[in-house]
Amino acid sequence: MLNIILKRLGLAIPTLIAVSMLVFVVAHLAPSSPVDIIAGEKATPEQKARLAHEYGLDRPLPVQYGSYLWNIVAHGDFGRSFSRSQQPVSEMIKNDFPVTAQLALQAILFALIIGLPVGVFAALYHNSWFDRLAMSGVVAMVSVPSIVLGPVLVLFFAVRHPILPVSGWDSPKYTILPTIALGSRTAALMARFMRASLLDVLRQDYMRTAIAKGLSKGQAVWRHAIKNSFLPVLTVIGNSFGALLTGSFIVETIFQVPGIGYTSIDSISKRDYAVIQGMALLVALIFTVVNIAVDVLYGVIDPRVRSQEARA
Amino acid sequence: MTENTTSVSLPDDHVSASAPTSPAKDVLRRLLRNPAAVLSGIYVITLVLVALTAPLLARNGHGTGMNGLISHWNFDDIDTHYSSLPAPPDSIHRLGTDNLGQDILCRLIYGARVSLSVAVLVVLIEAFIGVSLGLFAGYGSGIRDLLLMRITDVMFAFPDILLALLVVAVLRSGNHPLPPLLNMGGLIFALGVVAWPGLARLVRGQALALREKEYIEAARASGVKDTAIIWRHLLPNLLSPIIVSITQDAAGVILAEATLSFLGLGVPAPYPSWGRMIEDAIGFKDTYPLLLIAPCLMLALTVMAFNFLGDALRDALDPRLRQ
Amino acid sequence: MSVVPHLHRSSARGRNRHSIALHTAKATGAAAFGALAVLLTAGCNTTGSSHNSGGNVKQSSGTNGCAGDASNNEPNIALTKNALRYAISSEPTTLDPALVRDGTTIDLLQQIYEGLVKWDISNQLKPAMAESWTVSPDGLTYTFKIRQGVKFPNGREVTAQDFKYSLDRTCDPTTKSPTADDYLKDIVGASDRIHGKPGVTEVAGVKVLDTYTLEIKLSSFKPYWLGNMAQPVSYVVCKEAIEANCGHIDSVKSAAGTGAFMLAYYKPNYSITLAANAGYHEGRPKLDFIVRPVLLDANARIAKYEAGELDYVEVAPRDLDKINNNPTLKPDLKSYARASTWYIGLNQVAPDSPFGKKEVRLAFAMAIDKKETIRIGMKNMADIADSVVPPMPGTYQPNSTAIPFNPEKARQMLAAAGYPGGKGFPTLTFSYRQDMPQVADTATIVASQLKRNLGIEVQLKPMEWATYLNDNEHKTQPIFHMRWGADYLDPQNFLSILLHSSKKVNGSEDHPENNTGYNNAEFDKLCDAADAEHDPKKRMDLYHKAEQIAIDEAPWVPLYYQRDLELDKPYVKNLRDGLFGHLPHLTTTVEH
Repeated sequence: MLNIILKRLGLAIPTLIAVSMLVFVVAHLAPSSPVDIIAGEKATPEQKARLAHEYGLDRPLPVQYGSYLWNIVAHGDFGRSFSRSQQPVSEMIKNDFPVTAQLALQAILFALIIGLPVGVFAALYHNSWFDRLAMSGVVAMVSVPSIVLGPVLVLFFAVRHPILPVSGWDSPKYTILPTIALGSRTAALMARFMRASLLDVLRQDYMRTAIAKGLSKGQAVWRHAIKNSFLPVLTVIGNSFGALLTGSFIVETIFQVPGIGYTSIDSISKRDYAVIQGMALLVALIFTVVNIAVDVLYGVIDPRVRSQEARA
Repeated sequence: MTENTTSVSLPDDHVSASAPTSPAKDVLRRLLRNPAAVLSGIYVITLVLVALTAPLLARNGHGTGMNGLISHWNFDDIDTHYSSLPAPPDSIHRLGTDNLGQDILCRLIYGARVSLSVAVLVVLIEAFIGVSLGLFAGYGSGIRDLLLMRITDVMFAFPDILLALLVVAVLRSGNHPLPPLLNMGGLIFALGVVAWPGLARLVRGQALALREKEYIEAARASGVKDTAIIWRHLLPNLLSPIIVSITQDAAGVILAEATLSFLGLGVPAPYPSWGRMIEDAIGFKDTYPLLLIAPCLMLALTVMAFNFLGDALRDALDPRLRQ
Repeated sequence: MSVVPHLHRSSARGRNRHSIALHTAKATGAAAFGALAVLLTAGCNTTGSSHNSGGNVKQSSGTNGCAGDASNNEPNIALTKNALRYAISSEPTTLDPALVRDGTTIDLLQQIYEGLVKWDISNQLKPAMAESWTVSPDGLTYTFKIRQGVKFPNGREVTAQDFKYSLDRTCDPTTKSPTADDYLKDIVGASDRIHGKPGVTEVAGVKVLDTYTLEIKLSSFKPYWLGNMAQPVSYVVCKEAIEANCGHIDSVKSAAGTGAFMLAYYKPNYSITLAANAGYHEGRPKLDFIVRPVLLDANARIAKYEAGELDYVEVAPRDLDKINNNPTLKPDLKSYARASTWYIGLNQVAPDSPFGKKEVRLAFAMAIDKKETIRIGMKNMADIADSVVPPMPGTYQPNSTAIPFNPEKARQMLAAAGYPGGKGFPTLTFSYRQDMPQVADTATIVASQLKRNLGIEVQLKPMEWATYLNDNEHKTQPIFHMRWGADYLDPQNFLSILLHSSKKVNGSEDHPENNTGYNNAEFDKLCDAADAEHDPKKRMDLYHKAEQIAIDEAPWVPLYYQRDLELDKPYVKNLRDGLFGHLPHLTTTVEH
């Protein structure tokens, strides 16, 4: 197990370097440079050239990348934002990450609370009207994107019935709408997965045996089925974390939540390279760590997986 | 896009390599038995027709009387007659106008055009890159395979939306002539670039499995050329999973276009796009909620229809997957 | 969600006059404040400020010290009602007056810092840190008497030497000031320093004559030059505070000036608090605090205003529907004139441009219905523009006669130019920045008018701001929608800079802003004469004549003069306003 983790971590390092290179190159391919924005609308070409020189942006790309990477490795220095009062990017990450993490965790919690019971009941009452309704609801929820759900939630719960704030991130009640907007899709997936997993277990022989041995159906379900079917669902949580992180980019923008997603998108439109690169690396790191964690977890739960490592 | 792949793999849900390609009739019969698929199909076909005939549907504007179904949308068709904008629905503008006096129904129709053309083009790019790289790796040597897997690793270690946003921002900043189509070109390129790794892995996995099959081994042993094997044996077998994957991805692409436009990095104002319309309407949500609800509904319904269709296609093409 | 106490104040500071209460603030997550808690206070990172272009790309490391400000506590303004609360609509780009260039941040910094002179409510230059000044007869030498007894927050008196330090610092190439060129290049030796000429270590034209006397020499006569000394780039900054912070102004402590307020608290993404400067040389401001929550979303700002959490709020034309439909908000709507003209540029030198023909330009000018554009696009909240130069009360009142809207005559003009009914007219791109909704709206309306009135189809081209600027500068956009805002209140800032045809003046590119390729010898002559004229009355007459020529020839179609829109609570009184924006809140009061 430890070997696998170490191997995966080893593989992750070149991946992360490649990600940083990819983002760096893509960002610097832009024909207009951040100097255009720093220098502003009244700057002459000479002024821009001077500023580009002072910022080191006139150096060859590999040299710029090398010094960027070196500053990270040697000094932990991710550079500074030029659009946000020269803040060090590392500071911005420290400020923004907990917000996004909180939002994502709340969304997962929300998804579990809503999704699991729906999935369980849909499986227990397989092919009932509830099952059909729930599964149609699942496809519907999966299809309603956050750019639709967010504004519609705001329309109903903040404008028509002003019981919740429109946007911001000040107190717990501010987190409700973003959590729902972000978590509802995961809730639907969770329901679908729980249902499938439980159906699978219910068909197993040992369930029939348990019932034959005299356990009531309810007891059998509680004692064996739900526990056994819940384990694979656990891994879905890990899998949906990536989707949640992506989703938080949009949800944070809609609700003005000061997390990494909001900062990233703001920085992309302001061409704030240092911030974009720092945030991209952070996100890639989270993705990688979560993926490894999920795989390890999966291996723990289902030993068969440990041997065949080629999951797509 | 990660946000909307509905094909959640169930524990035993691996699109089988040896999926028998059922006759088209069989598939159609199975599709028609599924009411959700039928409704979705009707919706998608209608939407495609509407998008194709948008200029006809939107013929003849305000001021000159009503001949067409709805008034014409174009830059020359800002209705300047209203004293207060956005204007509520009336006999000329069936869904009212936005804050500039532009007909909302017309913008929805042209928005469908934008959404669907982006979806079709991106999916074509995705299929081209994904299938060729997948085959290249899956049917080729170990090194090719390793290379593809590492590249896709990098692509997967990263939210697609961030990369797409970055690519669009970069393309946008170039000095291209950016009329609507080419402008969407940046968008299409960006979405195509981030969309392929999933399909490539799928194809690669299938190809890996298929090439071990006896009949392919046999064909190879008897000296049939690789390209012939790929065309005659591999591709036909891969068709079902590719079609399913692509239909589901279409929903994702439509959503991605809307999202990027919503974030201000997709289709720019004043060109119509549902995502853009949602973004524009947010400021009017308390005064003119219709402005917000109309594009929201279109987007959600369309994504939903493609998702239903994708699921139904998967079930119809591979009956063994049905629960 | 956790509530984490702020850090203790680490050191006594000169600003303890106001007992700023410690309290706890809501944080968005424990680690958000944990991050602040681990701020290091290591020594200076000297490499970050060395003149070494091969060195760090970024200024200095966050972990090398100097990035933090351990004495950054949010004042508890709940203890006083005497605070003005208005949101800041974007994160301040910088706290350094040498680096600032956006209006939002300037509005923040002008409360904290001051220069030699400042604009007042009548839009005239008034003494600020300079008590008085004299100009030599040739107009080249300015001698400033510095106000005595004014102190920096650290308690040290401001002298002429501080102005020399501040100007030298701004022009130091390692400061990377993007505006030093714009506003200081007329000072003898400033350009050499800004461009890092070897051997030049200071700005030669700035001399300290004695403790309270500063002399600035100009390289040529510029009757409007003094306005540059009111720019943020010329504010006086505190040497000790900056040097203690590795040369950067990026923290509460290093942002030390002599303005009416002092920076008391700043947490990025959250809020900024300014506290009254009791020692301000014109007397302590009426307010105790200014609180600026960072609120990037316009809808959120208005919602907070409605909820009574903000005392005033900027609004955009798009918000007007909502405001006009809301009887409680509507009476609060105010608009303030700005020295800024929005226009449609008709570029004669773009590739294949038809605008070389005067008739085509006139046809466009006659076909654009400014009134309708303002009614739909700006909801009537802008003043129709008939001139290039916006009205500058007390300095210049434009009196040119505009080309009237006349679609009939416009079509005749176009036909006379060889394009009857728009036939054969090339499809031109119409560029504009995509990040401001009202700009896209205006461009869309104008495009529709051209189609309706001339039968001409233009290709709207929304562009990313930086690329837009790049293109505009290279004069490749045939039609564009843009604004010019005054740097100082003088018609030279519009006419000579934007429409004069000469590229090179004194060997440097002095008129790079002529982005329409307009070229008229008579106009140039009038501008040249006006720029060099010592008599103010004669100068303005010459500019009036020049402006009428430019209007008649239509290189531009001026659309409107900008107005800034605001919702002001009725209890906010004595808000002083100038053509550049609100003046520092010296007299503002809030009477709840």
